Amino acid sequence: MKKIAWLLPLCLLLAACRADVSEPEELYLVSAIGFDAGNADLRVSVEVPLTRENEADKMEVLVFDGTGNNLTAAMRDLRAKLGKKLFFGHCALAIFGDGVSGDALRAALDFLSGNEIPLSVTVVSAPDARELLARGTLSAPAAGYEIPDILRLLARDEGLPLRCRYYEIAAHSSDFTLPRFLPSDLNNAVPDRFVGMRSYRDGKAAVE
Amino acid sequence: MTRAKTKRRGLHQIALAALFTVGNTLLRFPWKNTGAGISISFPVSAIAAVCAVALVYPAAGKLLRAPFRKRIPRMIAAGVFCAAVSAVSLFCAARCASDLLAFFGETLLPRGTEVPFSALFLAAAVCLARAPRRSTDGFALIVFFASCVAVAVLFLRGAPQFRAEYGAVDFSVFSGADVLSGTLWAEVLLPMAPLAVYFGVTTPRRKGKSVRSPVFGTLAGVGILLVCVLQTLLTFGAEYAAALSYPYSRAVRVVSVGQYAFRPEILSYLLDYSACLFRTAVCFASVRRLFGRFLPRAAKWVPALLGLGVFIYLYLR
Repeated sequence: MKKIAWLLPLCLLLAACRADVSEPEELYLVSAIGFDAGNADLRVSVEVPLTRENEADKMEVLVFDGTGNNLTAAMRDLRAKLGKKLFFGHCALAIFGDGVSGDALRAALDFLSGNEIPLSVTVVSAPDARELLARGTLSAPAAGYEIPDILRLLARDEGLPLRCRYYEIAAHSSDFTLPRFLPSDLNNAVPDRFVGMRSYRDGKAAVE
Repeated sequence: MTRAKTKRRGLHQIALAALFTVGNTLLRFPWKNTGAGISISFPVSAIAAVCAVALVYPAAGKLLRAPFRKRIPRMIAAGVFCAAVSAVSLFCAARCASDLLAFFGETLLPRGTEVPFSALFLAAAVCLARAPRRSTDGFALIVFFASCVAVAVLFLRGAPQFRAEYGAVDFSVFSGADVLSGTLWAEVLLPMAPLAVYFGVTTPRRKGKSVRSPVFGTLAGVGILLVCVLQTLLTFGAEYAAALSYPYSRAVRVVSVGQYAFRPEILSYLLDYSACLFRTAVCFASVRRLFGRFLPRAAKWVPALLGLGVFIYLYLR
C-alpha cells in the first residue's frame, strides 16, 4: 500500500492543472459580454472590473469593444486593442442587443457554447448591449455581477419564472425568452431597470 | 482467512470492480453513440455489462485456475483464450488512456504537456498493475469512497438546477440498431472481459459466493454512472446533453457550493482520472496474470511493456 500511496497526491496535483497558465496580472477578467448587430457589422463589448492593490473597495470598470463583419473578426479587433489577454472564466452575464437575430444570434450562441465561458452565464436582452455596460450600474460596480443578482431577487421575491442561463436557452435554441434591461438613466436614476421579457422565435426577436 | 477479513476483502473487490466499470465510460458512453436515446440505451447496456461479467468470470476461472500439467487441448484452449483477452485488454487500456488524454487536453492541460501527462498516467497504471493485489484493493477502496462522496455532493448541489420534464423517456429517439451496433460491444461488453478475467484468475473460488464481488462491483459502478447520467439529463435534457463533447463534466460546471466555491467540477476530474487509472491498471494486470500462467518469471515485465506500447500509440496519434 505504501508503495502506491504516491498515486493519491498525484491525483490531487493533476486536479489543480489549468489550461491557461497566464498569471492573473496578465489577464483582464471579463464579467460581462455584449453583442450588437448593425446593418453589416457585429460589435462585441466586454466589461472588465479592475481593482487596484490595497484599494479593493474602489473598483474601476472598463468597457472595451471590437467590430467586424462577423464574430471572429470582431473578437480579433477587440483583442488587438488590448495589452492583456481576456479571461472569460468569471463571465456572469451575456447581453444580446436588439439587432442580434438570425445568423448573428446563432454566432453569439455558438460563441457562448465554447469552453471559455461558463454554461451558467445569465443571458439578457437590451436595446444596446454596449450602452447597458458603459452606463454603469447603481448598486454594484459591474453590470455583470449586478444584473444576475437583480434576476435572482426577482425570481425569489416575485416568483418570476426565469430560464435565462445559457444552458437553459441552448436546450431550446430556436425558441426562448430573455429578461429585458434598459440602461441606467444617469439624470433620473431608476433603481430597477428590468422592463419585462423579450421572446425569440426561430432566431427572430419580438418584444412582449 | 477470518470471516471479517473475507468480508473486508469483498468490499475492496467491489470498489475495484466499480471503479473499473466507471472507467472511461463516463467520458465516452453513452452520449456519444446513443445521443438522446440514452434513457433507454443506458439500462440496456448496464444489464448487458452485468450479464457479461457474470458469464465470463466463472468460465475464465474454470479454464485458468487449475494447473494445465499435460492436458494439451486445455492448454491450447487456454492459450487462445488468453491471447484474445490480452488483445481486448490492450485495446481497452489504449482507448481508456486516449480518452482521458483527449478530455484533459481539452479541458485542463496547458498545450505541450500532453506527453508528460500521459507518461505520468501510464507510469501510475503500471505501478498499480505490478503492485500486490492487497495494495491495489486497498487503494481502490479509498478512491471508491472518495468518488462516491464527490458524485453525491455534486448531485445534491446540482439538484436546484434540475428540471423534472427532462426526466421523461422519449421512445421516438431510441434506435435499437444504434445500441446494438457499436456501443454495446465496444463500450460495454468488451471492457468487461478483462475485469472478469482479472477476478477469475486472482480470486480464490468459494462455492456459490465467488461471483458476488465482480457482479456487485459492476452494479456499484453502474450505480455511480446512473447518478452521473441522471444529473446530466436533468440539467440539460437528453438532446442538448448529446450535443456536448463531455456532458457530465459540463453539467457539474454549473454547480456552485456557497458563494466562493463556484467551480467544484474539480471533484469530477478526480473521478474521471481515478476511474480511468483503475481501468487501465486492471487491463494491464489481467494481461500480466494471463501471461503468468505460461511464463511466470517474465510476467512481471508485462505491465511495463504494455505501458510503453500504449505510450508510443498515444504519441503517434
